[in-house]
Amino acid sequence: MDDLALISRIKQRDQDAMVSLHSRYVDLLYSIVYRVLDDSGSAEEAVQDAFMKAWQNASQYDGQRGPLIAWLIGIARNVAIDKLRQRGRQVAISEDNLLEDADERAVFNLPDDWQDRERANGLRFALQDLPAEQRQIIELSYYGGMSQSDIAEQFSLPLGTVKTRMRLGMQKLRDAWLKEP
Amino acid sequence: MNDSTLFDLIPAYALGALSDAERAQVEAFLAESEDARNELRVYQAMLTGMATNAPPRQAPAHLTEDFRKRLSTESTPAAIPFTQRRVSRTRWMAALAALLVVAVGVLVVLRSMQQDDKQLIQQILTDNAATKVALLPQAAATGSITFVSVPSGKQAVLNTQLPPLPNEQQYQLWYIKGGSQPDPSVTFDGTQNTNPVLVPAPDPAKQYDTIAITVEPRGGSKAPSNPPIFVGTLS
Repeated sequence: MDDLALISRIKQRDQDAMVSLHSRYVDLLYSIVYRVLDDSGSAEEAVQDAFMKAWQNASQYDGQRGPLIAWLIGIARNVAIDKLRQRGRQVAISEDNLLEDADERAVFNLPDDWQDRERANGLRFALQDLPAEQRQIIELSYYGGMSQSDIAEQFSLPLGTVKTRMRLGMQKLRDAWLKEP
Repeated sequence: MNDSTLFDLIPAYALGALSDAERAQVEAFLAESEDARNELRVYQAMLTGMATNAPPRQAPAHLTEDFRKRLSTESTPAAIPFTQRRVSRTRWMAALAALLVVAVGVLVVLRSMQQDDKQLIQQILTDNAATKVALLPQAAATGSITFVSVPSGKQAVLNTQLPPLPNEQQYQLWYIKGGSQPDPSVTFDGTQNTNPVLVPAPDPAKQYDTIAITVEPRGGSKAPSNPPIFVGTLS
């Protein structure tokens, strides 16, 4: 059953369908919230809360606005950042080896019919090629919910420097994303 | 800020990294520029792709079964009865500590709700199927308002640029059908900068054909106290 069929059933309050969705994407969402929270206990709570939020708000998902996977990732990221703020902590800055903490057994389920699946796979190299200071600023914002002024203040950087690094890094990733896979 | 500068802010907007003032300016720009909306969609898709490149981790095996149980027992907790009796100093301290935890929790929920509102505003403004209605100023009204709605959406966005009002007043949105009595909707404040406001979408069953803005006492009125300052036609 593809994602659209699954969410259609979930909107009709089919709990088995929701559990199927959980099973399908729990590794992906767990990895994302873990990246934010850097703690297994908090990550477990966050991923469960994220799926519960998806269940409660399923009626708001509109397939015209984007793939289900994007919607789920958005929910998971927001739940994790809220938890991070609640704990008064800051997201960890990634070192150069992005896969240092990866679990070799983990393989994500990505939708077969997701039109950006190949682009997403290709983006890995663009992320590795990004200068560390650009990648870290983007990750502080995406995974840590930090604004440009938060980052500038926290790391004693000129605001203009933060803005420039963020813009240049994001533009490079965008260009890599738009290249034919 | 000119359009080129606003365009350059789109990546940071997609990240949610802008100040409130910059974000409001970008949202006003998005409401008016299809190129900007297309560019934002590219960045949003790219960030989804970036997230799928997070260092992979296998979720603990028990999570899905735990989730199944949580789903099946989802219900509203029963109210805890309040009993009056003398409490010791220790219990007072514990109660105060609990109250502080609740207060922090409420702040976190409010901030989460604000973050959800921002996301929803962004979604509505970048929706390909969005309909925009520019409201016309009446008499000597200053500023501008654009009403942005999406098909079957329960909420809409008022992109407003209205001067601040005295503290005892607010702007109020009204939905009107034909010559009927206007139905009151939300109130909001004017600010120095462009301010997108999330509002309930008009009820399709009521077949409203007009939206209007008036100035009302703070908190709003059940019927307009003043003539409208902005009026727009709903299709």
